[in-house]
Amino acid sequence: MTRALAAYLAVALLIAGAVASDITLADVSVSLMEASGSIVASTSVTGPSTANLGTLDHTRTLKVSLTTSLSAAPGEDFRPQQVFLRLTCRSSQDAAYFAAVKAKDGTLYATAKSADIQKQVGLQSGAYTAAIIVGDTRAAQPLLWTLGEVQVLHAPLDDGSQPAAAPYRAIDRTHKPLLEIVHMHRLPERRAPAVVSVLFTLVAAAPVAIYVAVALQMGANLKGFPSGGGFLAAAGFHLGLLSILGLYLLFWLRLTMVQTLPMLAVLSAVTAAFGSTTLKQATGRGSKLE
Amino acid sequence: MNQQFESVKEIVAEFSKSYHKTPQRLKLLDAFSICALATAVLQFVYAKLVGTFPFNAFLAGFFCCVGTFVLTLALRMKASEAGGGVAEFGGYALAMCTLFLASVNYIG
Repeated sequence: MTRALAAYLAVALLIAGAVASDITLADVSVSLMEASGSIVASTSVTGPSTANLGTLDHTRTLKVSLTTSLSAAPGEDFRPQQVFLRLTCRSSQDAAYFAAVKAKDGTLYATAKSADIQKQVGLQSGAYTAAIIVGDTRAAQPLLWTLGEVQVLHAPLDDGSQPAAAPYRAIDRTHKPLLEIVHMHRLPERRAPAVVSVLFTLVAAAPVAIYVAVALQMGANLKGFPSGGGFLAAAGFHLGLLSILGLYLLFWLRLTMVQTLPMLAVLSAVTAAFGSTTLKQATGRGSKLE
Repeated sequence: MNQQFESVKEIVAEFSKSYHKTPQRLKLLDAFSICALATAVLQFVYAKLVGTFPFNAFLAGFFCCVGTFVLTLALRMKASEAGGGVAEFGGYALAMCTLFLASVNYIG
């Protein structure tokens, strides 16, 4: 959750820095008010800043007021769909969000108290980064302004010290977010070096070469190949077998089974027809020889 | 021990003498069977020494060779009968084509 928010912040900052936003902010002021309504400190912000905005203790209220306009329609009464004050704890990067509302004079304002911060991120006192986020579907990009740093102090203990950091709800003490699941790609199988594979391919092919050499040495020849009338059928049979093997090669390299089977059916039928004739003749010749 | 060695030598001599009389076409089939078996053994040695990746290709190659060996032996048995083997070559070709199709499909 925290990481996701941090990532969002980084992306949003990148976007805000890289692309000129359609949304413009004016009269941005950050003030700290006592419970009586008197203003303790007021800072006027004209752009993203890192100014020290003061200390927000448990008696005070942080108020950010601003006016917004669309650069495409400067005179129009622009009411952005989303305006938030975000207070991000420096140490834990946990963030508390406060939606801005419209005042009677037309300005937008958001208020935050230390008790409200506690409800969102628990007891965490110390430095917080205040930022304003404005988003609207009519704007090309959302806008993010860092307003500065504010020190948040919760109600002190009896001895005047700040309470130790603790989650707001009891359930948050027992139920922590699970670890983020990082996808692990399957490790590639162990593979032999290419040289070894090529060498073994040659070694595995060697018996065929040896067989051809042995067959030739034993006196194998094509003298028995039929000539005359039987030649056509015998040639067709052997060419058919060769073309079937060629088709298998194509099947391995590029064709699918659905493409291969019809072609195989045609080649098989032709080969079988030639083969039947050839083998009949060969059987006759063989019986004559014997 | 020596006597056993002598008898083995005798058996080998007798076998080679008899095998010399074997028809040439049967010798060719024997050579082809040995060739198929040797290829299967070499593939197995490769799988043992280097690794079986990709396993499907290894299985396809290995069993294609073993299948070829068995089919060629079956053809040889028919061919060794008087006048046999020629007509059976059609069945042998069909069986080999089917075996190769299955192997090529399994290689992937």
